[in-house]
Amino acid sequence: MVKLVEKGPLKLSAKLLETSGFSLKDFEIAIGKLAIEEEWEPLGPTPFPSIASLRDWDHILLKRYKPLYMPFCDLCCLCTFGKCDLSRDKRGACGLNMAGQQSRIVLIACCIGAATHTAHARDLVEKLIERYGRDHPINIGGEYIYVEAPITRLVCGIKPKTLGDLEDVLDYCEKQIAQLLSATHTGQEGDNIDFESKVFHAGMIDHVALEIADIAQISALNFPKADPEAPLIDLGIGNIDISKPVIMCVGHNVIPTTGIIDYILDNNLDGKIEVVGLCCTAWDTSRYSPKIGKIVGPISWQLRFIRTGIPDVIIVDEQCVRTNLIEEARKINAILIATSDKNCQGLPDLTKEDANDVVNKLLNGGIPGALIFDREKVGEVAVKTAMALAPKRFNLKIFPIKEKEWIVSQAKKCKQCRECERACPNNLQIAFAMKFASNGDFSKLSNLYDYCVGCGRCESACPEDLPIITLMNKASEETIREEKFKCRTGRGAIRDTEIRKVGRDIVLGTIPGVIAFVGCANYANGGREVVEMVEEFLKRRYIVVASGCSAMTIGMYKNSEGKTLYEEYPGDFDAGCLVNVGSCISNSHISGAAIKIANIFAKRNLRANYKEIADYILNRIGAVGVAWGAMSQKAASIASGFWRLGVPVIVGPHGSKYRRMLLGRKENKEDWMVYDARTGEKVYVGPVPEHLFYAAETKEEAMVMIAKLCMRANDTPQGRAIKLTHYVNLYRKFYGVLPEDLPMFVRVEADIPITMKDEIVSFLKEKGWEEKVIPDPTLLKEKVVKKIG
Amino acid sequence: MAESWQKAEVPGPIKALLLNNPKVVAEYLKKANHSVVIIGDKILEIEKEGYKILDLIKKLSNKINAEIVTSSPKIIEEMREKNINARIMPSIEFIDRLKDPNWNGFDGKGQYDLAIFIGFPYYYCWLMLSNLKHFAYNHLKTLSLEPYYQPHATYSLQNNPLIEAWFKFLNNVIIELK
Ligand code: SF4
Ligand code: SF4
Ligand code: SF4
Repeated sequence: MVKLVEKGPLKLSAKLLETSGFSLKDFEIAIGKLAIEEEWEPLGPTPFPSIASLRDWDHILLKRYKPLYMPFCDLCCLCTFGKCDLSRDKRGACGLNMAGQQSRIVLIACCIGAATHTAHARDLVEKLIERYGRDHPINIGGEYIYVEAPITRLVCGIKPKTLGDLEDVLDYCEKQIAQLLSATHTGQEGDNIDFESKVFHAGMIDHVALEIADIAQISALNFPKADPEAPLIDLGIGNIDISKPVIMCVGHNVIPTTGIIDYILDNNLDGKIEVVGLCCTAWDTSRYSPKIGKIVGPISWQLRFIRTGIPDVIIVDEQCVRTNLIEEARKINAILIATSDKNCQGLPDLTKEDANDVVNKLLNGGIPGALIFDREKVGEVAVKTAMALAPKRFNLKIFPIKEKEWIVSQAKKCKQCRECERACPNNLQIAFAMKFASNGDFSKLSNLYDYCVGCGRCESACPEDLPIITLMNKASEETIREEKFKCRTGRGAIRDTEIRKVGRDIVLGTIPGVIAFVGCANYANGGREVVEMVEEFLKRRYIVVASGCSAMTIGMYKNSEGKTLYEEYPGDFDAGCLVNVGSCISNSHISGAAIKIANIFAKRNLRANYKEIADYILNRIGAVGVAWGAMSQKAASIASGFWRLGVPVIVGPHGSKYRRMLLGRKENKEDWMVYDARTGEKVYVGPVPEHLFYAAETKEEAMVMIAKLCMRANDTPQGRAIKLTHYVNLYRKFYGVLPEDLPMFVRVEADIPITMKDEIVSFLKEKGWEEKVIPDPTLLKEKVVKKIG
Repeated sequence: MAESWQKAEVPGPIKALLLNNPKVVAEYLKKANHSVVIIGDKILEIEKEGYKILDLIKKLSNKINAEIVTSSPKIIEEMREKNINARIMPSIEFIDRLKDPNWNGFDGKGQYDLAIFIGFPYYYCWLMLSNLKHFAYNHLKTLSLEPYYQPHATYSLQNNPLIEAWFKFLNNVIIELK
């Protein structure tokens, strides 16, 4: 039924306001948006929540999962009162202490992340509306998807139908980010837990923006629509035909690259030119055109790929792009075209000039590159420039200098000062490798290739200006040529039908968990660790989901039959399957899937009903995020959106540099009490899930923790037994013994995995284990059916 | 003045006391009443190069009666072979407990007064130490035995990336513990 709400004075019953528990002020925001609204579900208590509307829920979470701060340094230097020494118990001139300052830093990071995604979404929605109109329908999966925007429904309480509707949601996100950022000003928020609550809010807003961005581009650009059989595409430098002109696209916003693809198709140039991408633009290019768009690799391949000399033209859009690509392009005589107002790279704006004139200017070397905002013009200029330039650059490709003797001559210049190592985040033994290389042994240098994250800090620090990355490349030439893989492009959302099929098993625990490998490629020990983890959990028949650079890393290793995991495992959202949702903004389909389980399987209302759904997910859905190489502020805000929903996130060692963990203390019994929704009684459920945010030191530690964090208070004995099988099994595989904390996770005898029954029963006896009650768990008093006295 | 191994790691006003005499290290070790050694997985890279570093750590912990904690499966395995009961706990979880003045330690004898770090990625170690420096300074001192200067520890060795020299230094510490 469609209800027309008149614009102007809003008629709302006092009862609705009272029961929903939000202020009139909150609701005013929504008036404009509800002009035509379908009555699809009763409106929940928190439509368009303000920065403190969900504070009570955050405080419940933060009481259990307490922040652990690991400051980079003793100081705050954010205002002219400072620098202030906040070490130990000191306070700054504004009164802030170290915990306050560290939580403020996390909030600033998450605001940057949320702002970046929101601005990205805004740009996409505006440009797509320009081309397709405000009334272009949202369609991300045809008849397979009824719940098209679960996060927006949950947070905002509206159901977007057209591109135009998305603009309204972005208005809300922008307002929230401004509010959150203002809280970080000197002399505003000071309490670390309230800062953390705002961090959660930033994360929630981030997920709304992610969803808006991805559903806009899926709908308008006709990306795969929730398709488990999204095409397999080429990944890796070895797949690039270097006899053709090569355009490299890097960043996150696919719009300029669609201009290139369209130009190629309109001018029958398909097959005559290579369009290759890095980072999320690569995923979205391949979602736009699986036939043309190839993937070089994750973001850490950026410098490495440029140094191969292969790209003729480099297109940069926004986010995670190296900020000195002008310099890098010049080193290989390539042309740089910047396309985003957020990232102008100091280039002249030639948007209004004739395309052929721009091409001439670029080819004549008068300018190092150009800034072009117009999608079509980017397409024409990039293609024409690449075609004209490629023949002249042919000798510069793979690799600019052909003889390996060159490595020797360069390595001989090395003074063994180790400045490179003192700059390298992974402390790689570069000087040692140089010593060997100077004697003609390149093995040590090429060994570094697997562990280097391509940051370039070594080169910057080297007093001899040695091109260390190029040397590593050259020493690994054979490896690079063999980088030929297949991966499945981003399928987008999870179908409602898939949710219906697996929802029950996930909630009961008989599918042991949903594990999402997401985020950047800042790995401490190379990408292989991600693949090993993914494979372990696929074999154990977890549902494995992937996105962004992690999803590329997963495709960069082959099994003994020469197949990647994408070729080996199906792309359905089901046990033992590997689902690539797509780029970073597609992470919204992962949180969206958790939300949809609560809605489609458990029939909980979504509409503006955040707390209930988050409580449901925390207690019932065994999902864990793993961001093994998380690097960016966006990764921080994405993680934060998961935390507020009750989904734990594990990061790799470098993730400790986010400087704040959210940890449970399993031995504190009072932290693990929930209400039994049936009786109102407080019941101990054990430490499930034990942490919300946690940096693992090793992949083994992470694997054990992943299995453990999949346990949830609501698991049925059958489900818990399956989850415990994996936890105990992995723990024993790595540590050789039963986990000490095992008794905390066994509630009743039926929880004990049947195959290890005798052993575990005697272990429990030894530890003085007692049977516990399995409640209908909730952390929300208001969800108790029977009134508490 | 001591400099961090990673040059960008500038700690602020409070920097670790630099210990470059094995005898002084031994004295600090002996002064503690309840110590714990926390070992990172990176130590295995050094073992691979032929330095029996885990043997040294075993001797050291024996002499000062310190417990060992790690989350590295390989280290657990090796310690088991050496008949040492090492505690298994992720380092981040352990830091969370070390910082709590009311935690009773693995042995139930109360919170530790000295935590000894060895074998971590440089940044991972400085971050853990930084937490303890700011939030556990009332009850806990930290000693980094890493081959690099760790500015957030209470006491740290100097930058000593030549493994041989570092290994010799640690050996001398053990000799001094007699
Ligand atoms: S914001 Fe506060 S703590 Fe930071 S420099 Fe200014 S006065 Fe000092
Ligand atoms: S580019 Fe590679 S080798 Fe150089 S500092 Fe970065 S990670 Fe280390
Ligand atoms: S910084 Fe340069 S000269 Fe010094 S060791 Fe490294 S490669 Fe050699």
